[in-house]
Amino acid sequence: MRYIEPHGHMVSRVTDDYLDMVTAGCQAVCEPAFWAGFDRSSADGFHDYFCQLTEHEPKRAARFGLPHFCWLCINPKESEDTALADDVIALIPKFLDRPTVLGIGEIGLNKNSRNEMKVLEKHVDLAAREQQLILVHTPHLEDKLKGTRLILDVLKSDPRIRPERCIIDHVEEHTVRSVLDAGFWAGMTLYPESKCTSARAVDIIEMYGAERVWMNSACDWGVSVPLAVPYAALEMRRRGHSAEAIDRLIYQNPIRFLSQCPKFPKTFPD
Amino acid sequence: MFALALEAVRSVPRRETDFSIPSQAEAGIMESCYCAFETMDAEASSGLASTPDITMTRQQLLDLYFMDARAKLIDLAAFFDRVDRGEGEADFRLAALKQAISELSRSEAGRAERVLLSLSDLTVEPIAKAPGKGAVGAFHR
Repeated sequence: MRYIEPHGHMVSRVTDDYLDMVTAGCQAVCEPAFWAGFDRSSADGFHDYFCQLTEHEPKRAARFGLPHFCWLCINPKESEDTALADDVIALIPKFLDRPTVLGIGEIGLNKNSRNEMKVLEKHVDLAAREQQLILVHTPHLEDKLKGTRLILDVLKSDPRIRPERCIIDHVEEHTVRSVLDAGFWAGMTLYPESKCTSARAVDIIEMYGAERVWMNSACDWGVSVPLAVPYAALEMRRRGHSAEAIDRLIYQNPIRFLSQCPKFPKTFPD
Repeated sequence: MFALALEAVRSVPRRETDFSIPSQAEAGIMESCYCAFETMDAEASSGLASTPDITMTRQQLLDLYFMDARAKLIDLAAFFDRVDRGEGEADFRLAALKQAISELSRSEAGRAERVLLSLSDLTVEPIAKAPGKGAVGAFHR
């Protein structure tokens, strides 16, 4: 088995996780910028975090032979403070040329507030001006449906945004259809409690197809499973999906989306 | 070949008391299935094994998921009993969960989506200010 982990917050994980992922067949990991679990007190904290994502973490992953890529933004959980968000967004352009930066993400909404919307629009504008891929976080639990609708409205209202260059992550049964119908990619996050279980993710594949879909673990500092993607692959196999279909979903699909950024390889050596 | 072998595995009747140890017959069929897995990559490279629309029978799905669903149902029942034994008033989440559960008794497909919708904020306008960062799993209407 081979797979890409397209969404993992590896700065929160231990080296054993890298070892397990590589052993399970992981060929590359991509790390969106994220909330640390506490609010950073200034843009300087984000500068250091972006250095960690673009300098330190790729070296740590390389010790296990795993290519590491990242996305940059201020996460929607910290978007209520628009002055801080402006300072952080101003930092991002100087990092975009770094060799492992794939685009702007994970941007989006958390509680669907007006300030979160303003910061989302500024991120989208930055991505459009810099011709960057976009990775979108949709809100949790009861806020997901409304947040997904608002996010789609923002993206669809900007004529510079091409849906095939945006992935809307953390979809579930009540949001996946609207994302795919609008031409965007959809990400399914495999969590033990919230978001999708493996069985539900495979249900969604069987109902809506796998043309513009990826699966990720979104492993972070909370309850999450770094090997969730290979576990979901096992679930597909139990349901009779072919090895080719599994490979297409967990390896070829992420490459197809991510390699729209020329920094991401189209193939990885066996 | 893979499909035939897998079908054979699925068609073997399961014993009521043993969901983990394969019988001798099952083991033999599973072995042939594993052989089929090995040939699958070759088939896949020629495009023959592309199967995006898998449809298992109801019997096969019960064999695969019944025990898991049973365990979750009993966990849910025990959760309601546990809450009943507790003291004080329950907040809106208990009623929201009971309302969502009513979707399970409907016969139309789309139960998972309707349960999620039942627990969701259905308003459309952004709120003035985020009250915090967390979500609790049900919208307080």
